Amino acid sequence: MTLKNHPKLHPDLVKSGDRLALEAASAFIKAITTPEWPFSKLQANGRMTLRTLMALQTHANLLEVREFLADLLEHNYRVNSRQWHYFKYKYEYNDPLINPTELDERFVAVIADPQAGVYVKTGRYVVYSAQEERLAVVALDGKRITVYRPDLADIAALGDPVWIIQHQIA
Amino acid sequence: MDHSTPDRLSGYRAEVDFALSVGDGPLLRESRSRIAAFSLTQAETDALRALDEIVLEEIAYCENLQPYLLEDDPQIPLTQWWWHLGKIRSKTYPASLLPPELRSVYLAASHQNAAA
Repeated sequence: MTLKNHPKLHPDLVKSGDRLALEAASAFIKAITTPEWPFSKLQANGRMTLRTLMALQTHANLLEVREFLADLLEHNYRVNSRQWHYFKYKYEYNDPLINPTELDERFVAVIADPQAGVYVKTGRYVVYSAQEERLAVVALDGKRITVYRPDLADIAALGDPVWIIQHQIA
Repeated sequence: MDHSTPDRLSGYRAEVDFALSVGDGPLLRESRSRIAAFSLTQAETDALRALDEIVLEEIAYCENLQPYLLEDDPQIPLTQWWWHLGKIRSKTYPASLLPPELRSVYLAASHQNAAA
């Protein structure tokens, strides 16, 4: 698929000179081509953290879980969001993910869906793909923030898309 | 807990676990509003309370919250606390309007922040 492998600014968009649309399209190209996820600091005693750690502890016989738990402690609960979400999905949600790169694939599948809509209500780019039934959040600088499956009943609350991916990148 | 099967809280749970955890939540408040209209089972009520507690904690402590989440909607009654996360964050939300089980989480977060 071209959008996944060699995305570039859509020629019509370049001709239009629409600065905001061009900035967004550039962020999507970076998001597709560069798997960069931010780090965040977990609240070690926070309910969300503890709930996930509890789920992980029941799988502490597995090497990847043990290594992740040790890594969390070593880095004082500062964690890459892709890693954190991977372990949440796999061990708290029983998601059949094999490795963290599958989250990258899910993310790219949303951003590279030509029919996906782009929403700008949040200060980041929110991209929703009806085909994938997933929503991805992209930072203004193109970092990958998150990808997940929202409730379809909530999608209308996003309003109308500002752009459609196929008009942004080609 | 196994969340692999979609249920009526799935959307809100996803917003909490995979968006709020990174300071975001594009459908967090809308999803919570939709659930508020349901007549919930006891199990759903318990699960919702657990999610609400997480939201209150994350709003209090999260370092990289997106500013839009803290833009309160004055048109919506204060009792719908999820539309007033800015007041929750700034500790100006009237605790008496929260359900008792959430009030204690809110007040605990307020005290810890004040002591920090």
